[in-house]
Amino acid sequence: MRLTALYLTSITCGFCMMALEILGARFIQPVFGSSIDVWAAIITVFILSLSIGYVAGGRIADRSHTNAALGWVILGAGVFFCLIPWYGMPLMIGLGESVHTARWGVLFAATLLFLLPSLLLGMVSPILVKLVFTGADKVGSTTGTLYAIGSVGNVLGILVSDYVLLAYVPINTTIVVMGAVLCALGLLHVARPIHATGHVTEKTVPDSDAGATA
Amino acid sequence: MRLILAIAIAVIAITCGAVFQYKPYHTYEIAYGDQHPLNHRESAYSSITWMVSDDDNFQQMKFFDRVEGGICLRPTWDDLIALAQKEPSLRHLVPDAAARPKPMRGGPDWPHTWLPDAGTVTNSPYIRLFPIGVLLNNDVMTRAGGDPQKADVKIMVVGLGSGIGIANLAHHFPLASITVVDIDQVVEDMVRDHYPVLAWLLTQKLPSGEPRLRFEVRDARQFVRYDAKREKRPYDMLILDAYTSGSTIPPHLMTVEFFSECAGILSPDGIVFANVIGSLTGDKRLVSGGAMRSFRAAGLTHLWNFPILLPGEGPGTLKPEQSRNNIVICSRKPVDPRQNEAGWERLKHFEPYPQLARGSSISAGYVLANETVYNSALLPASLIDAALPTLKGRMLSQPRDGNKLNYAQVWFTKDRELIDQVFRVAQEAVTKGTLSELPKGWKDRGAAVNLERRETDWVLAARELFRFVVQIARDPNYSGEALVGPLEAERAAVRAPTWTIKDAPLFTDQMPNADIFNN
Repeated sequence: MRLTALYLTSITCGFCMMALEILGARFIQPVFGSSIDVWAAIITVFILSLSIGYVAGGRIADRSHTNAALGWVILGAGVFFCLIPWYGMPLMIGLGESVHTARWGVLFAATLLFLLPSLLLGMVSPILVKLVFTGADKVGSTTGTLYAIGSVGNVLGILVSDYVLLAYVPINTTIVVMGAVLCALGLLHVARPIHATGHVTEKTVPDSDAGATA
Repeated sequence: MRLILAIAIAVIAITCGAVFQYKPYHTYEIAYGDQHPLNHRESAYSSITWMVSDDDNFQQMKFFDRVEGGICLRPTWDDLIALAQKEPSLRHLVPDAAARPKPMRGGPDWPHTWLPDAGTVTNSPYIRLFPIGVLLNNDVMTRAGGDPQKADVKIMVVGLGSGIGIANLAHHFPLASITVVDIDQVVEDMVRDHYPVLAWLLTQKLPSGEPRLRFEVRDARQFVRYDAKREKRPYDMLILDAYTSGSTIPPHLMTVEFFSECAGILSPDGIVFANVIGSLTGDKRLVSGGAMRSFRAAGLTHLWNFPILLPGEGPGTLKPEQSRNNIVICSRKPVDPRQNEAGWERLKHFEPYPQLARGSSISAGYVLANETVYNSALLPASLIDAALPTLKGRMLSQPRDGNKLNYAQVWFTKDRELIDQVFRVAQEAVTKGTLSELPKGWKDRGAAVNLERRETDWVLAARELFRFVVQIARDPNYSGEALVGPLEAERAAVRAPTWTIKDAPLFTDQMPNADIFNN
């Protein structure tokens, strides 16, 4: 149950991450066109934010022993998802012609729009690693499974958004709905504590959040 | 406590997202003067809208807010069918009453009860040049005895757009068999549903059994490499007119390798007709120059360029730094005026839309101007004419400069009282609801000192542009040789680079960067 919950978290965040990447390219197309520069900018921003997110998520994972931080991170991502359809387009239009026509303009816009939400989603993986960790003898298989499941989420996010969502659902609606799902997921993690069980250090932490494990 | 805070944040975020999400700019939501959206659809590649204006006499397809080839509403298909009673040369556009497709109902924002059923006349300049690709093909034209009506030409068009280019070809070449390759199913559906002439052509067969028109939903690269190669008869003409919504040519359709694949499906006299937006000396020279150099490298060594004139330009007044449509014609056989004299003779004598009378396709409207520039968009003429029937007679006719491309016939007045009257009529029309919104510049009477009535005759415009472009293209300064120099193999032997676009890149599959040079 505990593992299922964590794997579901991984697959959902993976889905939202790549769906936002595909939809994000379409989102900025009316302003920046659909050239290779657009794709380069989008991919740069998402990979870069993963890189920063991994570092930040790792630090948080070391310090926390429950899933509360995870909940807040996912909730933060959800909030950004919900608000992108609101501020995204006015922000891009507001950048003005000099940015719209410059080759680096799309990189700038993609950074403004997508760096923070994808960075927050990038933080999820290292925190999950800490939570699924059950002992040094299993570290390979547990993290491997976690990554695999996260990547399945990525694949689904790409395929479903490209083949299904783009054709039938307005981009804004999809992003807001994904935001709502992320918010709900974040709330669940805040509400239902999961404790890290791995014997990483001998340091014992006073357990203030008494309660059952999910 | 924290949980409540978290719930509050989530609820606020979701509510804000759902309620305040930005309604993006949509062409289909815009009604502007007498312009209204006939229909709108989204595809994986673009956001597609049909816009229609009765007084401005157009039905145009928009990708986001960029306009594809514009179709004139008049003469309607009905007009052409009626004309065919007297003009046997139009019989090929007359359907059986039973087989005649009707236009599909308009979308939710279409306010009128009538539906456009446009004919074959265009208001887009470069579209009018489509016939030159057939006329310069000596093999096809000799077989036809020099008569376009008998040219059994097999044509591939890459990139459909509004479909007006196909209609133009079908008008002038009744025996043409046309294959359209487009990557976007939604574009093809939109054309089929709202451009009945094309919907009908899709159902027609030539005496030879070939279809008059077929639509293929494929990437052109795949179609040329696999499907086209398997066909028995080679193509006589290939029109490359694929553009993305960002107005750049898809880079994989602008490489030496693709062009050689195109050459592989052409008949020996076959011609590639490419619509390349670029300039001759300015920033965009790298796009047009790169295209020309790449065509030659692909074995289509005989190459000639037809720069499409902009309004106000004429023989001797072409601005080479200006970005424009260029029609690049290339072939394995000579296409230049000296070696292909017969072809150029046909260009000289070709009259676009020979059956159509002057005045059969008119756009009319009023614009406000100060002393030097227009400060308004076109206000529908029918509205003003109904309220002020004597107005046109009280305006002065502006003489035209016969050496410059000047589509519109202009009447003007500086009479303050007349201008005020027109202004009031426009405002009343909006109050009464007969006009959706005042066109740009009409909201404020402002400093306008000049009122102009502009009438454009699109049949005359087609003839004028064709004549001018052919006349200007004769100038060897615009030929491929003058623009991108001799063939690669012969370059070493040429001492001084005497050509204009000295830094033209070569677009290859390894460096397919036409879109990047376009930025």
